[in-house]
Amino acid sequence: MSFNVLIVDDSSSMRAVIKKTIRLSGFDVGEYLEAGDGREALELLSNKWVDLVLSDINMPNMNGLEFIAEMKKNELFSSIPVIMVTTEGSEKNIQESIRLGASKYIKKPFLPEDIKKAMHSLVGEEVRDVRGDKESDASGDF
Amino acid sequence: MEIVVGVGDMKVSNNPEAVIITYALGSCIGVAIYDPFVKVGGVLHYMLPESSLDPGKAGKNPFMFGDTGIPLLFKETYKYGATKNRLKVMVLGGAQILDQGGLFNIGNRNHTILRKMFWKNNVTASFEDVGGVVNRTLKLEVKTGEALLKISGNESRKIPWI
Amino acid sequence: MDLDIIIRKIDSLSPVSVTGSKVMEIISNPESSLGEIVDVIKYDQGLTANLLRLCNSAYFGLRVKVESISQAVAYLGLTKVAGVVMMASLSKNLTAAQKGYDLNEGELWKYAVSSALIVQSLAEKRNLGNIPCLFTSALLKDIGKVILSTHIRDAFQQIIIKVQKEGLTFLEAEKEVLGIDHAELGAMVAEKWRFSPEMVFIIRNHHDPMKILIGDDLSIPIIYLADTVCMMVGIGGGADGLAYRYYQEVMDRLDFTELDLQKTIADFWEKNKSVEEMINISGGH
Repeated sequence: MSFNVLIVDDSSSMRAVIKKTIRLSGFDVGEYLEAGDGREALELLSNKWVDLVLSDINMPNMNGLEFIAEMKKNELFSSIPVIMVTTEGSEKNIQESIRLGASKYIKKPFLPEDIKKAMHSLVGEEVRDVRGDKESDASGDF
Repeated sequence: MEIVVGVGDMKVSNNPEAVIITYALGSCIGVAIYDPFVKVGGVLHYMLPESSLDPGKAGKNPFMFGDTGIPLLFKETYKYGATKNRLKVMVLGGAQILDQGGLFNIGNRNHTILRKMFWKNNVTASFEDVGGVVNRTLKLEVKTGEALLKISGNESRKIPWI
Repeated sequence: MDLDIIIRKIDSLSPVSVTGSKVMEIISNPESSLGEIVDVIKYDQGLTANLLRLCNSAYFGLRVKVESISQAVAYLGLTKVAGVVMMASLSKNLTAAQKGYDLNEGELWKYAVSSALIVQSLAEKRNLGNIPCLFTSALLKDIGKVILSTHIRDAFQQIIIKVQKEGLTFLEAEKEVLGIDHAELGAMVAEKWRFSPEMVFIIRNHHDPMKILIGDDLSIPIIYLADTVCMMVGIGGGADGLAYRYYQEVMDRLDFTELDLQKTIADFWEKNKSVEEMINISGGH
């Protein structure tokens, strides 16, 4: 069973930074999915299983708060944990994201430790894909 | 005739006299499935999410873990003529200690692995009662598919899932 | 006053046998040597017979059949033997059904034994010095439920509403509605039976692990952890379910990771059948 992460941010370089940070933390992620805004993210969620979402707030088309609100309304995705990673440090936005269902909030600029700690607390300390087969596993099908 | 499913256990039956029972699903997850056409029912009671924790133990008892137990539950019912598109699915359990949050939340982890496997295999639960701080007990009557759920602190109630 | 009635019920519990009391005294007293236990129990034929049956059960995995107390001690060690003696001595009070808590016959005892065995294994891994104390405290920690059961049944609606609507733990709800909770009562029983002050303290606070035992950091955390494991696996889950508070600090103090928790659950399950056998033997079935 591979562990998939969805990164939502309108800046491709920021998405790359987050991806690298997660990799360096030692989490064995199966697949990284990326979206430039909330709408794209919802589309991806409908097509692929995601174990964890990291999302910015300020994005065009559908911002992070609207995105998380939509996500939590949908039974299929509502239990997937979301970490907000954003420059938006205002108390109001922090409260609002938590109220809408975000599990954690990390302010940019962040240290790799911040992401690692947040992920640890949400998904456990080890994420291992023992079988190494990232494609659908025969014994897991029914 | 009672068929008891213990902790880390799975039973399937098409015997019309049978009532499959599983007790005290704390943080464990109980998955009950029933095909009303061929009248086959099955219950899985698993304790932990992923078998990668201890492949040796999973080899000895695949029903201890969600990722190994769930496929086997379904596949066992297929042997009795059940088909995936007809099977009704009920998910119970995954309780947690008060104020548990995300850490060490085995109940939550157990539920998450189930959602993942259901997702991958195109299965949707007809009924779910998951979470909270309660213990749940389930009785499934094979003849009719009738399911009785008892939540600690409350009376038994019939579940509308068929 | 209802509270007096409740407290007076402590006297109605089956007194622990003379032998059992003597063993408890030895265990409670840090000055005494566990070897004294052998001298005490060898005169109690019934207890010895029970003890040997338990030692020979699959749980201990002995290849040789043990036929005397000294053999039992030689193969299992004094600590384990002391624990088994306590199981044999205390079961009478804990095996009955407790309707108020929605526990069928044997379920409270199963909870007691399971948590004690988990405590033992966790304590052994950490080389703790007071294992018989911890084992016995774990066995006895919920004796308060035996006393409170009928009162819980009578006031159940009030209590469960507090849990369901006000988010109180079951323990807090017991206290608010009845004026006392099962941990406080259990501690009173332990005191009456002349357990050491440490054991009384442990029993009093087994749901309140933020209380630190003076000079000893790990006793309550370990008992709390064993309790938590049992709850998660559905053991002892009566009307109170899992309505007790979670403390991450306990896991941190024990350096216990989530993986450790999962492994503990998996390990305990593996022993499940043999634990069941022990429970049946000690419960007198």
